[in-house]
Amino acid sequence: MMERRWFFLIAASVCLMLLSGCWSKRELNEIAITTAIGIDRVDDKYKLTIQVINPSEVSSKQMTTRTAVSTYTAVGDSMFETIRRLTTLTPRQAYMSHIRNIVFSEEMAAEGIGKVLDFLSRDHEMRTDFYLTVAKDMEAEDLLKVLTPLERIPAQKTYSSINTSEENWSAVQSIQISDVISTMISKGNNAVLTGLRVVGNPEEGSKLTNVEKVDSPAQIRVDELAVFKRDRLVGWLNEEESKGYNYILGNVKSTAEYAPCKNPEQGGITLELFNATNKMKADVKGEHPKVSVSIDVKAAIADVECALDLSKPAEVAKIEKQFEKIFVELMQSSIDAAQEDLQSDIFGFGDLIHRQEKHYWKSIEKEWDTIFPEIEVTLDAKVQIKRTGTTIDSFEKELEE
Amino acid sequence: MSRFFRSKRQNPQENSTTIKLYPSLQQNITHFKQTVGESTDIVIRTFKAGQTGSMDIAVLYTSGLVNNELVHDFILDTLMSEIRKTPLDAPAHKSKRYKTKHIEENGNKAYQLIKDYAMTGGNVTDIDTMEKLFLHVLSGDTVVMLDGSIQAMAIDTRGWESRGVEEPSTQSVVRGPKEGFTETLRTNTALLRRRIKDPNLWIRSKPIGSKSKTDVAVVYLHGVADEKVVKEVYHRLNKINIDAILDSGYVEELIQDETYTPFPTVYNSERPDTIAAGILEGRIAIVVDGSPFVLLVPALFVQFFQSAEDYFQRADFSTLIRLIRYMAFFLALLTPSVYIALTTYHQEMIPTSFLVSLSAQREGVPFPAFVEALLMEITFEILREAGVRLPKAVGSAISIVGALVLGQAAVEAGIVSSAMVIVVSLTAISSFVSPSFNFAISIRMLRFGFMSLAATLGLFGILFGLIILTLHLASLRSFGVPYLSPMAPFIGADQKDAILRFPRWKLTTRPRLINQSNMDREDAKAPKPEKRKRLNQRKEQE
Repeated sequence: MMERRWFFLIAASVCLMLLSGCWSKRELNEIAITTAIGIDRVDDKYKLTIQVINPSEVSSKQMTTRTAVSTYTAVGDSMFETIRRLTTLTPRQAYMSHIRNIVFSEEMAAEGIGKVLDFLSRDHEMRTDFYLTVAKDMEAEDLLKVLTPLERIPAQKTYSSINTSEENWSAVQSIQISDVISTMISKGNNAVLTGLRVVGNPEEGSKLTNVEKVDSPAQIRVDELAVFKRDRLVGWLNEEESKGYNYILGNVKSTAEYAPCKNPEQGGITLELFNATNKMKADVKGEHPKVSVSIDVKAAIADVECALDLSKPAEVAKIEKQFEKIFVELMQSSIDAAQEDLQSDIFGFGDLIHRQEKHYWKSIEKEWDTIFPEIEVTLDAKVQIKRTGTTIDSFEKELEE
Repeated sequence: MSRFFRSKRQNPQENSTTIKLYPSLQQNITHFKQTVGESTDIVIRTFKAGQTGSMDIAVLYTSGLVNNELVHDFILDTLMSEIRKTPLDAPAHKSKRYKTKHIEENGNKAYQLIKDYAMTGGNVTDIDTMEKLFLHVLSGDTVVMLDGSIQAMAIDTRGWESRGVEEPSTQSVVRGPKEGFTETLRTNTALLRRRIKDPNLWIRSKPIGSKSKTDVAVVYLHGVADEKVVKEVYHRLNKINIDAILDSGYVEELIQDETYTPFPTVYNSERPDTIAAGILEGRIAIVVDGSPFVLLVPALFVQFFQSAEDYFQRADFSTLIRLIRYMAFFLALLTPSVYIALTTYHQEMIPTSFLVSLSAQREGVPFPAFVEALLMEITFEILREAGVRLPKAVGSAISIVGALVLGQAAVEAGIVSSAMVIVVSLTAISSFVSPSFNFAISIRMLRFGFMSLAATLGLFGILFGLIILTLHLASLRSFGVPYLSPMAPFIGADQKDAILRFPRWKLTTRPRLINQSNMDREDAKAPKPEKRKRLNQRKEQE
């Protein structure tokens, strides 16, 4: 009896394992690792471009004459349908888990990205750690075709670029799908996406010669922020405005700021920021709600071209005052752009009021879009210069003496 | 199948060993000779002794098993020359009625006389049956038989050629004693006795095996070892019904709790220090003659991760090494299966750049990852087995063939990916980390199961397998003690010598489930310098 029972148990488990037939098994050489998807709009249809890695080109140590990535493009009625249609072009099934970037064309973004976001967040194969970007002044397809030196996978280059410049320059902001969805569905907030563009000649970018030259003819640049209202693109913040936006929201990790000397002919003075924190407060007593934003910046002097005696605290205090003004101007430019040109509450002031004055928010929630351009924003900046670097007097000053 | 075994077990005992010794010496010798088939290694020396030369004496021994000098100097010499002048019929002052009539009575008297006054051997046993006669002669004792006596005396003259005490070839240590057990039971018990000079160290032996009559000794610390477990060990040993025991492995297989498990429930070691430590914890050692591997029960899961050296090195270092062993256990068990699962089902869990290089390596590999892994694992197992069996001189050839030809060439030929070679070598190295060889074997067996689970069900399958494995381990018992203790059931006090190794002065109690009556070792205190205040106080007192 015992033997029979064991026999059946073993036979059953072997059958169970073999008959399942390794369901959904995919070997590594049966998948096309997709790193980026470009989404364009053509006559009410989606034009999808996927950027696929050629693994042996990427990790080979010898120089080859083949490109590290290939792109495939197909047109279809929905995202998923188009992805499946792509198999008519690709030898392997596109594998979406390792996507680094989703690139929308400006046209697509202006029409609304909500429907696409549904697919991106619904599909089980997608991880949620990719960045959403908008290609400025060009088709997403063309942007994905640009080859990049240093990082062989262009999507990886974009991803790393966004990360590094976010940490060291702070004029861009990395946006993941969860951020976008949560800001879009909120009435008192609007989304921004990272902008991408190609510097140089995009047509040259898709050729291998692009990475064979010291100075690549076409380079992908992470630049500016695309401003959305609901799910539609309404405009762009330029570099200064983007920086102001990040100051207001406290996103700045580290950056450099420049101010001219008292005597502008001498040049200027540059600060290296290493800490910036923000405080936002809403005041709803008046006719229109008021918002005050204050930032606290800690910085070190990185570069002095003026003749200054930095050993005197008074001089340092002067510099601090000068920069405080500059920061307020930066933020003001960003607020002006949002209130006047774009009329989109990208700062989440609505959410701020919602958090602070729940009942008041209920009364103005529906008219927020018209109220936002009218609200008064007071800006304040406090700069503390913590370090003056490893020298005290500037080289310029010593030259004069 | 089981009926077949049962019928064999019920066979009547074939020999008529309960025959008593005959009073007539001639009859005894004839019977003896017939039974041993005149084997040439058995020496039967008959001669006449005593004052009148009328007493027939026979000396029986197996040449090669006895120490010839002992036999000659203390037995033959004594009997043939030193008592030549002694009347053997009876003590001298009562020697009036001596002639041939009462041979039996006289024989017995003479036997007693020789045993009490003449025999200079140390260990003398009386034997009265043929069965015992054969056992003693064939195990190296010298038997002296007198005409007319229904008893014979067996003198311990064992002394055969044997291997000396050498460094054990398994479980070697950097620091610690380098003695290893040998094939001789007495040497082995002596090695244990030398480490525990306590009257409570009880060593009791008994021959097992209807043909081999192998001495099996049970060694334990009376009062420390759990009496119930000791009884259970005796019970299981008594139940053994087999013709021959050639190694302790036979005993292990016949007394273990569970046969159908990949995990050993009996610990074995070649190291006297390891076994002595086990005995001191209240475990029971089973020493089998002819095997340098001594068994230790009850054996627990954590025991197979402990090396003798853990206790000879510093506690912090030993803890680290032990953690590495546990890590290696999981590596050896799961590396290939996790690799298979990740590369065939869960590519999203691999970092992008690593995935790219993995898939570049797999470019052009014709087999699925599972087949690839199986191919390499089996190749490695073959290599390993070949390496063990080969004569030492050829051994290096195997490593060249294995490393160069199979490893490198297979990658270059595009049959396997180089990542797979790394996975297999990592697995192989990890499986050698376990201090216990038979535990490593169980890991190797389970690995294949996990690989097929990973190939069919991915990580889900691995988790499934791990759950089954845990359930199985939790259900195991070794002589009544849960195999996973002190983890399941959780025993806080025993954690100090399970995964971690606490400093020696913390190890003041014996494992709780092994030993229930006598828990405390000596209470050692943490060594610390005396406080100055107290030191001064003492000085003042003095």
